[in-house]
Amino acid sequence: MTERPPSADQLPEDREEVGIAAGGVSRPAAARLGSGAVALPEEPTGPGLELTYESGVELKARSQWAYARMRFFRHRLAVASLVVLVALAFVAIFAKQVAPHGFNDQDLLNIAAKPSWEHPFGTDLLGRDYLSRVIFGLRTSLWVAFFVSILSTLIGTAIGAVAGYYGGVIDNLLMRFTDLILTLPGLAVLLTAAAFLGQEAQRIGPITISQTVMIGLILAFLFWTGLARIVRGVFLSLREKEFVEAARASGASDLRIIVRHILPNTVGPIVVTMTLIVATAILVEAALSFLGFGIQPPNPALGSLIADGNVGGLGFWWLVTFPGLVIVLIALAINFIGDGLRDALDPTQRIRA
Amino acid sequence: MRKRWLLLLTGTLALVGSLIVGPAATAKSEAPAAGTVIIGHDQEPTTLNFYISEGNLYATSLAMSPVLVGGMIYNDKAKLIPVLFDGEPKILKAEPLTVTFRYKANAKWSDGRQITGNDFLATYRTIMNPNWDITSREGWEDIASVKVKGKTVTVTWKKGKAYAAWDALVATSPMPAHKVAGQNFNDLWRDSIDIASGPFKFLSRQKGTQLVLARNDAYTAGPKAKLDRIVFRYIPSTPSIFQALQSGEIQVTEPQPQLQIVDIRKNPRFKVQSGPGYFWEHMDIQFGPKGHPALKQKYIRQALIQGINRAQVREALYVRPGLVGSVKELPVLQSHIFKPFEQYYQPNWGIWKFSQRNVIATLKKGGCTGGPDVPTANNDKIWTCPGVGKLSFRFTTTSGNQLRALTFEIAQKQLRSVGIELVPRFGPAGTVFGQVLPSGDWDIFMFTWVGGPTSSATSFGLYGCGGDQNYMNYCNKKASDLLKKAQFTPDPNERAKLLNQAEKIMAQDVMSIPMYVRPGFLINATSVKGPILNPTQQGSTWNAETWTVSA
Amino acid sequence: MLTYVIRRLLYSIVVLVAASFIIFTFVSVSADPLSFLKMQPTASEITIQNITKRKHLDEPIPVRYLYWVKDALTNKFGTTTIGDRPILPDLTRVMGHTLQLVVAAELLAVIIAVAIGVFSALRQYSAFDYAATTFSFVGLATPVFWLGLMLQVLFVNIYLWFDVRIFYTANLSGVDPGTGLHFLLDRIQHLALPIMTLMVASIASYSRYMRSSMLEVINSDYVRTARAKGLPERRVTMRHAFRNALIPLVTIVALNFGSLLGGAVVTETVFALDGMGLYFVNQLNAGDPYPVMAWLMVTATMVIVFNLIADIAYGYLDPRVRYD
Repeated sequence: MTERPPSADQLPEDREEVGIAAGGVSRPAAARLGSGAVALPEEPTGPGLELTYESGVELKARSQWAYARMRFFRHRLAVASLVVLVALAFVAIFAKQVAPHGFNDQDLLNIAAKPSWEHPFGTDLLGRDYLSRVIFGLRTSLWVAFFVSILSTLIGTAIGAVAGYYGGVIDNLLMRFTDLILTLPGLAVLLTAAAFLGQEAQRIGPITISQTVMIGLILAFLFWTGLARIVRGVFLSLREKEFVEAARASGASDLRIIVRHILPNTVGPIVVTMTLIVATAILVEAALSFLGFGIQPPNPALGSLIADGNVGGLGFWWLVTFPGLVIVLIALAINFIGDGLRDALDPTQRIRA
Repeated sequence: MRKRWLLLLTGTLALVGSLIVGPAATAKSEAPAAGTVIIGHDQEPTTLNFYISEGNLYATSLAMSPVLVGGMIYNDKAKLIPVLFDGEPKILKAEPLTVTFRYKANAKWSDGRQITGNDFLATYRTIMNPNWDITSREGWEDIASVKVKGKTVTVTWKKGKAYAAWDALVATSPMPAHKVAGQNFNDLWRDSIDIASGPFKFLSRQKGTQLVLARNDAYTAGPKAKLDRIVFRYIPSTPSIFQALQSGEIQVTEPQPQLQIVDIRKNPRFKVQSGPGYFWEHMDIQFGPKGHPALKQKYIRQALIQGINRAQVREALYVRPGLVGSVKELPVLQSHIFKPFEQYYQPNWGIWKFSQRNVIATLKKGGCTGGPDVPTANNDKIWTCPGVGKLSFRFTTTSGNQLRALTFEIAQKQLRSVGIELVPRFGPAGTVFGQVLPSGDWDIFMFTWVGGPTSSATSFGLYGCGGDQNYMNYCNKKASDLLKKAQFTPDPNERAKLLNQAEKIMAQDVMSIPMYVRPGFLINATSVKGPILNPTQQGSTWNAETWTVSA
Repeated sequence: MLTYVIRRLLYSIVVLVAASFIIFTFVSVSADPLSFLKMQPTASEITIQNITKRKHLDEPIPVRYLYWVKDALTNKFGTTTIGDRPILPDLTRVMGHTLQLVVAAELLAVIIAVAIGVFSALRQYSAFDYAATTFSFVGLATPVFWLGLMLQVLFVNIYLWFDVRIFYTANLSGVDPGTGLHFLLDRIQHLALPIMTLMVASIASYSRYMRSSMLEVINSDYVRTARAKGLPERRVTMRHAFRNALIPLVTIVALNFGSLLGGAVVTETVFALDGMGLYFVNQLNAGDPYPVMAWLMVTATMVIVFNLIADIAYGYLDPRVRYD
């Protein structure tokens, strides 16, 4: 599963999100009977606000997002993962300050040294402090992963929304285009891109796009398909609903309907899928480096660190273990957060009261 | 419900357990059939015909050279020793070059027919036939006549076209005339070969997995092989090759230089041989219109070579980690044409010593500005030179090769501290060799030339004006003329003199920076006795008939 | 439904053609299959010219593409650029090997994942659930080539310590695999580690999927009705919840299977398996468009077919979904 960029239907939780999104968010307050509160009949205050009685007398107006937040924080692992991820992001952003050495401080007398007090992660084949390399690698990998996930989310959402909302011919065309991207083997695309674009910083007018960004762009180009299908599914099921008809009757433009009314319903599955893309992007970068298509040296990225260190075998275990642990940590944290988000945004799941 | 789940769980466990116990129980003793040696290699030959372009892989000749053996082969000292020849070939006349040689009286094919001069004639005719995709016709196309008398052959070259590497040429493995006649040579021996002239013959093949050779009992031209079989197993990933080696699935391998070798050296179950070979790593500089204009200035190129500490590079990459024993095993390469272990080697490039101060002084003298005054560790200032702009060069090489990446990183750092910038442009091999290199759209290109004992003679193709492989677009008339003359000089002393003369001129031009000779490695389990590292492309199977294996 | 299928297939043909043209262009433009020959200082010009002419390498790319189409339809995908080797026999051979690997891995993965997923759902937030969740995510997060290497190291060391060979680390078969049962056992011993490597990621995602699907079903109205009716818990779970929870998983497995048939590149590289993935990477590196195209046609067809199967199955099994 981690070998290809996630296609439409390789992303887990795919179909399920269609079910939830189609039926879940606009479900009446009756669903909250299970948690011991008394529900009032649904007021026409729009899809954002619900009124409930807590056990007791007080009437607290809580937005749906507040409930989602509460549910999220009950998921202990997700909260812990959030803390970890924020800490890692902090380290990554302030890499220059946090890392004890630069990432390219070669010390050719101290090659491939075991972990020690001076070098907690050991040194690599050019005597560079591996802890610093991993920190900067973390920065690059996180940057690429978030860039890829944000960009592919934007593209996927846009395409899915348009396809789902308009249906018919436009839907057909866009879905066939999605199929086309799906059937293209990622490696072949990357090979060509590497040949022409991915080797050095490209200059378009006054803007210089670094090589890292190029790799990110290419990956995003291959990752958006899953989200497009999910978003399309939501739009397909929601566009016939009454609130859309009401909005249309009151003169709202198509764009306004799409963005203001239907799109908020897709936030749940979008966010969850985005977290999955982040985790997958990091792993895909690792696999690419293994096959020779990664980030240019001497910039470290977690994937290329592992791929380079793989030739050391067990005798030089620290070259693979430390970046590997960091990758596992990030992917775990992101997956738990995604899990928590999904539990939070889906009101149908049973929660321990 | 619980009972059913329990049943399912037990069933699964039993299935998995049987998968483990079953094979373990039926596993035979691990020593392969006595007399079999397993060689692991990372690339599989696609055809068994090593004369045509499809068979132009080291993997092909490694497997096939014990089968279709040559008149002479290169031994571990890179010297041609006769195998099918009866003694060494002799030069009858220097101009036009005429040589003669004779096949052994008892040299015969595995089907019983004698190996005669007719086989050499068939080889010549097949190679010269324009219908077949022969890899190289160099030297053959300049032959004027081939006269055959029984087992004796006399070859005459055209006037003025004496082929410098004639001895390697006549030593080419003769083709069986009776098998080649009337056949489509491009299709011949694609999957199997039913004839042999050497100590081994082809037995079987599973594409994608292995190739098996068996002892050729009809071989009489030399000592019969001691082994029953040689098996080639194909494992594309090098860490996996090392795992297979440790687990006994393969016994012999020739790995690329990498860190795991260090651990194997310490392991008493294995014997590791290393030594310099004919691979040499170098950095070419582009003189053509698409290259950086600064590189057309001689003083800038001279500054460039003085800014790279080549001795330190090979020490850091090979000596310190423990890949080779000491720097003596891997001397700094000071010549493009000859290798340090070759007889005619002269350190022509030794005039350029690593000196950061010289770099700065040279650039300043040329009028460059904006660079550091003294070599500084984390320098940010890059020189700008009059008329050519900033000294920021694109550095192209193949990706996925760790030692190359490390070489680049060291050089990049060294040059940065004196104000010259290298910008990486790594790409997959197919692209950089297929696209970038021939197009000339690069500044500095680092790669490995794979040569042999005869490649010095053909240096014109690489460095001469208009040479076929001169992707640098470099042209120095004087040097080029010397190189061309050397190509047609059969006397090795004379030729070496011309070549070294040419190189002294080229060294002044600094058209390419020689880095180091890549060491070759040969690892074998101690249960296998006999493998000796061969620095040429002859390969580790050159003495396969002497190998033995103990259980 | 039939019109839907036919319409999808027709569109798929268009997609196939477009994809083939795109990839043909990409490969032809980015690499030169003759480059390694041209890198030889002594390469014969005649040979280079011959191959160029024979394979139309000097023509513009659209023309080359049309030659390929002709070859693909009339000559079983044609032959390789260097060596004129027929492509189809190689392709069928590697396809067979990949099928063995993928079918075994997916089958085992589904069985185990379903078990884990159901158990996790039934005991949500228990120790088992958290443990299974962690194992799943760790499995998803591990780089495949590293996992493969670790497995190899483990079994190599088992062999060195106990002198018993359980599983092999490389290739499809041993040196003398024999025939019949011995061949089968030998093949299993060789495929075991790659199957395990592939399984890990699949189990991880399928079990997550199964768990959330099971959770959704357990909390649904009809299950609550069944319980309210007084049915024994086991009946509720097995007959109502479980079967419905399987539906989304069926589609996911179908889709994943379709794409895995393109070969698990990294796994096949690490374990030296002669499969589709390795074939593709080798041909891509050689820059030879014909085998890459043949591989693409087979793979793309598989992906499209299994996409279609997944969609149809979903529509068939879940009465709430309808296609117009």
